[in-house]
Amino acid sequence: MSEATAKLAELSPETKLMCERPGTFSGGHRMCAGCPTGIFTKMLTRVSDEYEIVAGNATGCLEVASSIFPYTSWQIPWIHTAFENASAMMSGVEACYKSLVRQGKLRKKLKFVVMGGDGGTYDIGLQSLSGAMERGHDLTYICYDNGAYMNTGVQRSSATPMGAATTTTPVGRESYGRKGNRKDLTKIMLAHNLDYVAQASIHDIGDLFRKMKKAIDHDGPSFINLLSPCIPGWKIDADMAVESARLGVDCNFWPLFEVEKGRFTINYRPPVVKPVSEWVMSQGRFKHLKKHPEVIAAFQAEIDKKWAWLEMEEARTK
Amino acid sequence: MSDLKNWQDLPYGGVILEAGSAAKYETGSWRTWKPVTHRENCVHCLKCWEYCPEDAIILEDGRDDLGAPRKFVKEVNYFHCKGCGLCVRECPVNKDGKAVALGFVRDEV
Amino acid sequence: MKTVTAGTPKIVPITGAGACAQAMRQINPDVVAAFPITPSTQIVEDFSAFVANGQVDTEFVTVESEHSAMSACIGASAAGGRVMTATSSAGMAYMWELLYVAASMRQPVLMSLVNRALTGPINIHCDHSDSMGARDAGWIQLYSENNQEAYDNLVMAARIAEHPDVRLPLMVCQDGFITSHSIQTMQLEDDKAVRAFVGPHKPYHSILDTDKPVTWGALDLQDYYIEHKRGQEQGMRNALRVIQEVSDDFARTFGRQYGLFEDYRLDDAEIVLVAINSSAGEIKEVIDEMRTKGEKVGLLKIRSFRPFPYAEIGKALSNAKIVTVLDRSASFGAHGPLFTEITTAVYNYSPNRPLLLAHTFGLGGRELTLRHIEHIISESRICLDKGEVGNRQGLWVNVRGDKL
Repeated sequence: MSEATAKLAELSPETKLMCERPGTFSGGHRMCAGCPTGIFTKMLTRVSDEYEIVAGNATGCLEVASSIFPYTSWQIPWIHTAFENASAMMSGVEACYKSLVRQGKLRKKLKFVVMGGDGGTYDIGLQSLSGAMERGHDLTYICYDNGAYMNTGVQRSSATPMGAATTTTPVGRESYGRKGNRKDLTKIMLAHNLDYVAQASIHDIGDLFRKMKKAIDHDGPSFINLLSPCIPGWKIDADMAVESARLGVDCNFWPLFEVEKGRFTINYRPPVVKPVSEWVMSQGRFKHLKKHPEVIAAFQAEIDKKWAWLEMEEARTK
Repeated sequence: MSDLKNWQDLPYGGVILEAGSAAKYETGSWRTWKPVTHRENCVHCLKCWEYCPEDAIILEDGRDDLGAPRKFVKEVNYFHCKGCGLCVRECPVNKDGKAVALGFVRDEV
Repeated sequence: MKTVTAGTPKIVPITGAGACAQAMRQINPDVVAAFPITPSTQIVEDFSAFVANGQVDTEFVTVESEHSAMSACIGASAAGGRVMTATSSAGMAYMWELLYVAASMRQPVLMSLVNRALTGPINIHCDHSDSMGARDAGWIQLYSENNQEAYDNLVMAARIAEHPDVRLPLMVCQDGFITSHSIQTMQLEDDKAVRAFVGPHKPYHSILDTDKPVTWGALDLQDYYIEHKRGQEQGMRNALRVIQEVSDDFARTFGRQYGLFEDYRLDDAEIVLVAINSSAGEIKEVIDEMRTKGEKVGLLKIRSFRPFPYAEIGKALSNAKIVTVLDRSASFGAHGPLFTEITTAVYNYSPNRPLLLAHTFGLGGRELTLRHIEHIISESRICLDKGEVGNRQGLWVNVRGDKL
């Protein structure tokens, strides 16, 4: 029993619910110190007590570090098979569940969550993701986007932001890092007739909780794109993942929004919109851009364009 | 990992039957710095618990001033804590600057 | 062993693909995930009709690729379901990565493989390059000479694959177009009898069991990988026994007896041909004819290629004086996979080692006619009389520009 001498903080409704529910994910995994993926994985079983969760992963940091035989951090049923097929794999799991329920062989209420990094989602996993979302399985896909193939040592992905140094887009005499703009996967998901698509960040737990709950509660396919910084990949300090995500959202690089049956809602408007240069200069992977202000300017222009589009969509679908 | 099993004693297909068995694996040996709770300054907002990627903040049950049940931050699980410092950085009491609810000290090897 | 009555079978005219679809309907799997590719497409199409008409309980996942098909099959199997699929050629090649995963995860996924040439150049016709290319993946591979065998093998497949001493995925192979698209008369067994023979599916550490949550697909480092693989190998070794046991039970129930291979007029044969799938049928024709002319020739027809019954085949070939192996796939720069296995069997298990002669034929659907088979047999006789195979070793049959 504790005796608090300081005033007790009022807990948010989300925190109140979460602390009473069992977690999904134990410590003892081998993710880097400060890797924020452990933040959202704990939450899977805490967003609702109306169903149980069965999860699956694409190959990647989270998958590898959480399941080195005979150790597993997963306290729920969990499956992984390959890099590019998490969505297809879970489609099969979900299909079997539907079949067994229909045949009267199973009565539990289960929900299915698939997780993958930007590597296994934007690139090699795009086909199976698209197929699964289009077929209408009752799946929630959570992409933890850290902007590169981190598990194999920080190679560029289609999610890598402009100007970032990666091992396949290193800085050199002829290169300022990743050329061109990153792909907008959230937009691609919007084209799949999904009832629920959202962007979230690991720094804003309340917002993430509400989105995870909506996505998983929903009967049918849902997609959440989650900004998830990487300590070695972004070259930031081990305690900086949350702050870095916060800054990424505050400069509108990663707007927090959701689209429910086509209706856009911007969940957060930064009270003061920070310039992307602030976010960029806080990370080692971008520090060479000091010598390339034109790249930062192009990056800023892209962010502004995307934000304007978002505002327009919100107004249009009000 | 000193008692490695023979192939005959392994379940088929590489399946791991014990959920959460990673809890037995000590990642606490990774750290060089460690967080230290200063309970007298803690407001038990549970942010450190929410943010800890290792699930290394241990909560306990208690009651608030009105006698309603609520959770309190008890202590750090040093068996798993990797010393990343997320809890120390994100602690709202620390951020406020007037007191320290979570200190960060060099760890003894 | 339980006694199952055969019920009332029907004699039906049906294609090989149609026969497989019927077997699937009778087995009534929990999930089918499949992607169309010629010449296996009809299996999937026929099955879709059964689904659409409510004739099965199956959840049918119309995946967007074969890689996703096998992914979904593995997921569904891990979820405790009985799972089936069908493919050919490039489709099998696309799921190659996952064939290994299905086997190593000990998921008894059942597949109808309609043999078709692998691309390069693209060709939709029959050869065995697809299943032979996957021979190391850890799947049980059963081959079928005709529609009856394809059907029977599939009916037996679940009992073999799901046996607790085995628990491995299984593919039933048949020749693309030659049997898959040709209408043959076949005995279609009674629905109830097949269901009773196949029996219920027992899940193994289902991913849907939230009371006992498990982790499937963990990473192995150097300390565990080989032990897991050794366990997988044991499943294959046990399969030799289980295939025979299930086949014997099938014989007791439905009256047709299968073994690990078929021997046709082998006892006193001096020349033995070894072949897989439909060409065995033609070879039997030629053997009967040449026997009337006094030639002592026989056939060893492969049924189980994986696991490969080295000892049994070696013993069966003990009295042969020359064994001529016909491979319908190539391993470029080396002898064909069937020849390699037969050589291993003979070298290790035939006390009297016969001459061994390798031929490659039929790639991309090129015909092997009765005349070709006759020629192969008479040339084998010449080799036998000479006491060596000489420069006939490794000849490709019926290729313009090469003399056979």
